[in-house]
Amino acid sequence: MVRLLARRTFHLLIVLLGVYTALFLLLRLTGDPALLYVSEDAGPAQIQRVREQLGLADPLPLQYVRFLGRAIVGDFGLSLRYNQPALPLVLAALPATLELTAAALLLSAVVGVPVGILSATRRNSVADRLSLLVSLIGQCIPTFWLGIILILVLALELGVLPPSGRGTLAHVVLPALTLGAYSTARVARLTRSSVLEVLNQDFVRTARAKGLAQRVVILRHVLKNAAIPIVTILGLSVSTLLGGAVITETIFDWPGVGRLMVQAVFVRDYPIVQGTAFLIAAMVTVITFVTDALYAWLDPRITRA
Amino acid sequence: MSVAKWPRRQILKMAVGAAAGSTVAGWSRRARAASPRINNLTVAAQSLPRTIDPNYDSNLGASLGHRFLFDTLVTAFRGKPEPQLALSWQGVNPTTWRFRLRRDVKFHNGEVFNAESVKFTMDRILDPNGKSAWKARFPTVERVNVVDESTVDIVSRVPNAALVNVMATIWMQPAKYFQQVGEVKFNQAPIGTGPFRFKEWRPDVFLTMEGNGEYWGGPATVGQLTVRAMPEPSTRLAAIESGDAQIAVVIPPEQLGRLRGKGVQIQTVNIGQLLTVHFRFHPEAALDAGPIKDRRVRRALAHATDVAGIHRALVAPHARMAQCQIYGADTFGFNPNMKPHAYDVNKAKQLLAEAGHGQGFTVHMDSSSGMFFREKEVTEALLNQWAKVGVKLEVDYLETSRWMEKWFATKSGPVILNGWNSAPAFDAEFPLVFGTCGSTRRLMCHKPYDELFFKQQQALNPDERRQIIWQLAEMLCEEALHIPLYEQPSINALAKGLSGVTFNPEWSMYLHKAIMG
Repeated sequence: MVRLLARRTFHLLIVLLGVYTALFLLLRLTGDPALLYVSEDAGPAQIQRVREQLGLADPLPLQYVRFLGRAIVGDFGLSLRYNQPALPLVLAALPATLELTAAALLLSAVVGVPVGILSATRRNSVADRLSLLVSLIGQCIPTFWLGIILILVLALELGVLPPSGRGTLAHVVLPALTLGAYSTARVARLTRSSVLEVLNQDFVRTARAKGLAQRVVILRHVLKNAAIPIVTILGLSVSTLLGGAVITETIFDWPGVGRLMVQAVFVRDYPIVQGTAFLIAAMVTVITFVTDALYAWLDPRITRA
Repeated sequence: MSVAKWPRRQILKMAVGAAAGSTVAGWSRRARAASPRINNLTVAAQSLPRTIDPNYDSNLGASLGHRFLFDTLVTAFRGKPEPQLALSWQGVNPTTWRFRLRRDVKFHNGEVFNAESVKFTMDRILDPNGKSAWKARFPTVERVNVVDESTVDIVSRVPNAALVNVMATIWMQPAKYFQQVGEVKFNQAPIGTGPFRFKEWRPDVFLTMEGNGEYWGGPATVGQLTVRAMPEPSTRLAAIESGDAQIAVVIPPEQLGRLRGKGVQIQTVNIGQLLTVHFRFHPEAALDAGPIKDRRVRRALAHATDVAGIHRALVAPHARMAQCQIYGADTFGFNPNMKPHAYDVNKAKQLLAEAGHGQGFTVHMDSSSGMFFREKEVTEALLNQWAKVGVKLEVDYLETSRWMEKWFATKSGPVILNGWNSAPAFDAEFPLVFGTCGSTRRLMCHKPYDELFFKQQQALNPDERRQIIWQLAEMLCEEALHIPLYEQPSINALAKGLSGVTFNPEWSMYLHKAIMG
């Protein structure tokens, strides 16, 4: 276990270094941020001065080593846009993103998995066809449209939920529904196909032949064997939800890292982009590690292999 | 009551309420305060200032936050300086402006506002190693002298007629506090003299302030003020409709009928930015402008553009039409008697033929995305109108950072959709400086224009100066360097019953006298 942890930690460092290097190079290919931080009548001398003040006048390798050296101790520098240390800004936005991700993931698991099981066990029934149709719509519907419709109906027409912002638990309902719609639909469809595959196997027939109740057959025998693809898709969903909530955050004025990062990309605020990407990459790597650990728990053959 | 008789909406409401369960207990529609004093006021804004340190952010729109916390020596919302922290001003000699300051003003931490505060703030702006975005607005200012506690002199190398108006750009900062805490800490806990005191700031999320009961302009009637950044227009609309916000700025005009139907008040202000079609052809431009270099071609395109038609179809009644000047009616130097080039397709064709382009030509245009009011529709109108005289536009719609990058690299154009700011100084000198040979972003280089420009800089008599500015504007119009289209509007929504709110043409607002009911 210690060896596994050490190996995973080493992988984490490699991934972070790779992400950091790729980001460093890609961001600098997009253009010169100094041009965005001068007044509209600035001349070449003023632009050059700003470039020097932002530390962007040095050769690229020097910038790379300097940024990396600081990043190791958690210093991503001063945000170019806000003139504030970048890491606290990113950390301040992180709880909102985690809250929204957790809520959307919970929705995917709590709604998606039971609907998938129900659909599989009642194959070709009205409930199955209905769940397939709804999950198809859930996967096709654009996030921005769903968000606006939910605001119109639930917040403005009925007035039962707040339309935007973060504060109480009620504030998370609409953004979580919007963000979680796609992954819930995906989890439901995958659970259905995965459970169907297991339902046709011999050990399920044996379990039934032993006289076990349907509930026990499904929960104890079928679900555990069908769980690996479901856990995989849930793990992947976390990555998507963590980094892909920009539209939802914008529509619902949700103060998460997605919005912060997109704003930063638009104005080439390198420290914020690097800090955010660094954190998201670290979290995704940790989640991948947890997902792998769950595989081993679900199917011990994986560890032995 | 039988279920069949229940209103559909009530049933739906109950169903959704049950689904949401007790989690919604923490949220309820905000009850309106019975007293005129407002305990909490929320503004749904398009954006927030990128720094709270006000002299670092020259973006139009930053004033929205800064005007709450800080004050300037003067304001110049209609082109004429009005007292703020300065009570009066006079030219004591051709190169020195003397400002007499209010004696009753304190910063939020109790520090006294005085001549030292002005000197400290201006020295910081003028510091050659500083990062202030406003430095370029003071090219001739040499030094600031403290005369006494409440008198300060601003000395220029040459006479500087526009200086009083330009002082409307500079927010006064406390010398002692700033030196004590430093730049980064000041940005985290800023202190100003404004009607609201800083409480909390989350960049691009919210700015929370509390009313300043000791404001020199009268105690604030608002207890807590929150400005929330909501870049998405539908989010701002939802906030005002649901009562989450009491003010929403920059509302799409197509939503006004619906909002008015719900009792929401609408107030529109033109914000000191004028949208133009701008031709870039000066020799330093990285791209060859081709036919655009010919004045006859530019004049032809001006005649091919139906400015009045564009205004009527797209922006009236929200914004004023431009009158062949790159600044609007709120700016000192605006000439109400000038008119746009007449829309005349035949004349345009004739001018193009004279210039040897009777068969038309293709030219590149850099338009924008998310920068200006109705930018896409205007571009489409130009595509159609210019096609009638055989000129084909190849258009790029650029988001702000890409637009700015091409602009600074002189790679945009030769046709550009551009917004010229005259806010917050509201003096024609700033946009007109771009026509001089020495300007870093020069549009042209004509000696007579330069001579007139320097003459207006030194004309301390406002009437005389206005006349010179009118001549400069005529020259620019004749050259057809721009096709000015319309002033940029900001359409704002206010909750029913809210009054005492003033929207300023610099895109800020006064809320310290707001009352509800």
